[in-house]
Amino acid sequence: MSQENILKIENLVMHFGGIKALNDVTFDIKRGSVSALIGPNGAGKTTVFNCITGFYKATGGNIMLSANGKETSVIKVLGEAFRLTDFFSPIAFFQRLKYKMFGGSHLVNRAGLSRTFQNIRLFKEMSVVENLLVAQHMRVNRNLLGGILNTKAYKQAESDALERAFYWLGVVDLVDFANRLAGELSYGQQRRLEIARAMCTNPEIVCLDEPAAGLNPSETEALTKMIRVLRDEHNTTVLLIEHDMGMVMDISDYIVVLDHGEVIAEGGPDDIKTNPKVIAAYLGAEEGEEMTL
Amino acid sequence: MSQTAGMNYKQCFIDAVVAALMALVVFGPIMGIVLDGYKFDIDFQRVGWIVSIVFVGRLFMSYYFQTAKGQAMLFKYANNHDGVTVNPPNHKSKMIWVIPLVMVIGFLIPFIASKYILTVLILGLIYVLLGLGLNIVVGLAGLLDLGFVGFYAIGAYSLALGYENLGLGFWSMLPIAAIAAAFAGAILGFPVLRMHGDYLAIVTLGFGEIIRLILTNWVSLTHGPNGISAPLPTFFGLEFKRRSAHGETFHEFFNLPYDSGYKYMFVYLVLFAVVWAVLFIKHRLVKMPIGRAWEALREDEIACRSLGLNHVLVKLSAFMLGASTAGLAGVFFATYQGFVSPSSFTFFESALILAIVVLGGMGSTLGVVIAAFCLTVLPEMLREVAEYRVLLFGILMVVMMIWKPRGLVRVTRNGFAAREGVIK
Repeated sequence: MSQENILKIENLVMHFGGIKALNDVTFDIKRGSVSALIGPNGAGKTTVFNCITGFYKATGGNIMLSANGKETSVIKVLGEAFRLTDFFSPIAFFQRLKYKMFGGSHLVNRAGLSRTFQNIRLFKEMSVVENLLVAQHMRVNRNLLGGILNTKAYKQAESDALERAFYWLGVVDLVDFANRLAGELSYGQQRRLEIARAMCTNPEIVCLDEPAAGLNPSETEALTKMIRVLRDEHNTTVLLIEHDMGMVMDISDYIVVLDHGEVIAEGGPDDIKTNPKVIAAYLGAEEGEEMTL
Repeated sequence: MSQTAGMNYKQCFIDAVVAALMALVVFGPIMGIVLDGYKFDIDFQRVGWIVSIVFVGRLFMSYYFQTAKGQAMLFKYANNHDGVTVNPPNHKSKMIWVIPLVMVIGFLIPFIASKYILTVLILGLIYVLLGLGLNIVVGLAGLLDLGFVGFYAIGAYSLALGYENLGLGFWSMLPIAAIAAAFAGAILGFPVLRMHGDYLAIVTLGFGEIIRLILTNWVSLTHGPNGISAPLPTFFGLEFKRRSAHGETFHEFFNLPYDSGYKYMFVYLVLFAVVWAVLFIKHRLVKMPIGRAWEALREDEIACRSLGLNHVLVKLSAFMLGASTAGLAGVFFATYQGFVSPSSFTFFESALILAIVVLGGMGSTLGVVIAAFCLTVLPEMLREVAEYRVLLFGILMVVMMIWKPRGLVRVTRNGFAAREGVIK
């Protein structure tokens, strides 16, 4: 697509009661980039993530996702309150009603954005392959009669889904564990499986929430390679939250730094490394003091 | 094992005394005091027997678990909690031999068995259907539904009311009742399926009671607590009555002497076929995308949403399919009894169906079939001790929770053969 930015976040505000988790966050994510969202604990990184992926309904602002050849407003598909003007235009009214009744975060995924979770959320009592098959739910043959009668079209769709599942198992190096229960895998394997599962929904942008948390240095290295594969071979945009600065600086094309619910800096890794505001936020130094990360 | 070096007799004795005291507290008032008009007699002997049996039993149990054999047994069961296993890809189920055998035996039974056995088996099969329906909702989709009996009632009353008001018979009402129950499931489900766990359980509990109260109080339509009669199935238009107002009856057509057993034979055979059809559909459903989506939803709803599954529609489909199965069961119940009244659809029925699913193993088809027969056929066989039925039921549940907390039959998952990965 022609548009340069896959994700545009404008003036995002999120309040939980009296707590202002995000005030006025604005940034863009370029198509085909690896971008990172960093910041000290409690800066609001995961809140931004949950707003983008539709798990929180933002209090204000706008999130536009341009993937799968169309523009999607993340806030709109979650279902907004009716406005006075809706009562004069039936089309707008029914559209809003539709999103209110059937809308939700699943529509964000269908629009081409998938995510992983900070605390791994696999289907623990299902096998590894089944985890990946569930992720392809929107792409397989869901016709009830076809499935019960085991028609040719159904078998073909299932076989295609299995092939895709094994492809992604190959990418994350889990083919040997295909028939194990997901809950039996080691921590690092579960993290990789979650990324494979997110990729099985065929997204244009994948949001990884602390993918390297709890991994040892060699596993982090492998993860870095995998993220490059996602970007280079599958044209997937990657947005990640990460605390491992070495990894962030290594793979990111673009970094957004959050603190106290506000964007304090954005730019390439080299700019961020020397930005005094970022250093102050991380190390609590007084502004103007010379320090390096 | 090293602990077995010294047998701890003191511990055995203490365990046994504690168990005996508890038995005294529980059974003392229940069995020791016998009402006699306005007075009561105290029966020490019965209580004494029960308490001494418990004492001796516990003594032996404590002793046994201190021997090496007992220790090994305890160890085995303590490590038996990993319920789910994945079969290897080329796994061949032994069921391939069992299923045709059961089918043939089941088909031949009505021609051999007495009318009484047949009615018990019909009841067992009805509960198999109910168990399979609830197994979709509770076992696969993980939605705790305490008002399942409501859909059963809708199925049963559909047949009776359809016959009375619209003149529709068994065969036309069979699919209509399933659809009506599914529709009721959708109406209940849409607003409440955004809730989870305990909240959902309470709302569905309320739904079951609402249905029963409507059936009791809407006297002009349902005849209230008096109930209504339900029609028998017909065999290509032939009725199973002694004489019919319209046309020939079954025994006249085939020149047989009249026997009231024919109708049970026919109901049994139709029900048997329907149960196999439902079993087959269930077997396919768990392998299909929708079955996988149900199980994924049980495992983690938030992850499901992040993968593009509309959780409300997935839950709704489970609810509707489960309800339609209960509707089918209701039709058979009504036609087998020839009569329906609200008193057949109390909360106890819901609890019994839930017990079938829990006992059989959540999500296990075979387990549910076995458990349904255990819980309906066993009480019939134990008619002599009918007074202690609920007690036995409780003991069974406690024993199950200790030895087999995940149900009678272990849940297994299908493996997939590794293949070349291709992305298109």
